[in-house]
Amino acid sequence: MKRIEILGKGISKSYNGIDYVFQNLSFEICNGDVFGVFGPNGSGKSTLLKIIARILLPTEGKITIVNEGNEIPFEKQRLLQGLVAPYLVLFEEFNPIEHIKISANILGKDFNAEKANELIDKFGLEDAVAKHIKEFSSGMKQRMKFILALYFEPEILLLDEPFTNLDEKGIQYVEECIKEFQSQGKIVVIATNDKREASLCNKYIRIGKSTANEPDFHPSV
Amino acid sequence: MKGFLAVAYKDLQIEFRNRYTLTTTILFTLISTTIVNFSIPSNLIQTQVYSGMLWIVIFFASMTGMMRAFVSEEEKGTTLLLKMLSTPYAVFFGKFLFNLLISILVNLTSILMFMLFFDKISIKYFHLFALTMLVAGIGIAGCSTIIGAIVSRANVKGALFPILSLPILIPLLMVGIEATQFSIVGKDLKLILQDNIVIFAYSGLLITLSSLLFEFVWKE
Repeated sequence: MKRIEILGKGISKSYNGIDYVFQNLSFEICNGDVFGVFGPNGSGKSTLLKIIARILLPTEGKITIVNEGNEIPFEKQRLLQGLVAPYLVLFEEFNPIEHIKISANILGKDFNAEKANELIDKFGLEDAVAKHIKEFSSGMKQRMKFILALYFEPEILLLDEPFTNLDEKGIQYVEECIKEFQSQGKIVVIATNDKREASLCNKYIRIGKSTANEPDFHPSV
Repeated sequence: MKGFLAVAYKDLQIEFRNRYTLTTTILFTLISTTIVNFSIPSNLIQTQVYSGMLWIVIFFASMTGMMRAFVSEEEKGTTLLLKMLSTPYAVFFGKFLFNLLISILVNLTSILMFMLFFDKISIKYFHLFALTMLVAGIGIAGCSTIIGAIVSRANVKGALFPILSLPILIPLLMVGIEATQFSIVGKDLKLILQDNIVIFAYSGLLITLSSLLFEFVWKE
């Protein structure tokens, strides 16, 4: 098991250089944590998630992903993380298997058809395996995002409103996945306003324009 | 190394399924060459005009098609997924490879159409003519890749792309037109080779600088 930590120190983000979405956020996420990012709409939850994924640069402060005390560069971090978010759009011209295969090639990982089919079955997309993703419903696309994220066995799972568009069965399976991740000592970060999603977290940070300078996370919900 | 090939393969697969870029560029080439043929009778066209017209068609056909490499990702919203999966380096060279293939296709179609319509003009140094087209294609693809990435987030993408590309491509176009003219008439072999070296060096510089700057364009 890898000992991965996410350290955020003095993180601030401004898109125009004048108004800050949030300022001076500091946090520490360790192995086995399900870390919640809570706050009202527009408070910057998704922005913080993108900064943790290092696909968005913070205006101030630094995010460090550490493995056994050594900082992981972004080139390696992308191999360790998975993202499921409403604003993550899949390559819709492909069917699920083609999508996983092409993503694996881009990521530089091996493709395993058996593993891909297993996940597709688990998420109930076995009847849609020949369909292009553009023909999927919103719920099926959300399931496909989970399949893609979980296929690469990430050490860090970043979830933005993970239950969006999922039915009860889908929600239950995602809950199981998150608990399994936690028991395996992996990291899950959830940006949410939903009480059910929030109840899965053992740590959280609350962000919002009115309380942008919140000093630190609280040890438990 | 493998990552950029995978990005280019992904783009080609998508292109073969929706055929947007292929249809746009080939149709543009066919229509513009046909108009040139109707406006200038083939027995009256001179080498300079032939070469100039060929480059006008190639330039605008390239501008029509090559912008799509990044614009389509931005329009469909798949940029984020690509950022999660790939390094900036792999994205740049993957998109460059895709644009290079489109550029070669545009050049080939244009040349074939011109040879078909203006059959009275024969190309004396065809191998040098083909070489000029290839190295110029590399330069056009390199320029289109970085400018396409820059304009993909702008509101007026269609207008901005040729406006930003033209100043960067002017040196390449000037030397390319000269090398094309001379290879058609079979004049000054040494100068044609020099022109090709200039185009190749300029393209190399353009691609190297673009790949170094791309990370700043790619990351928000």
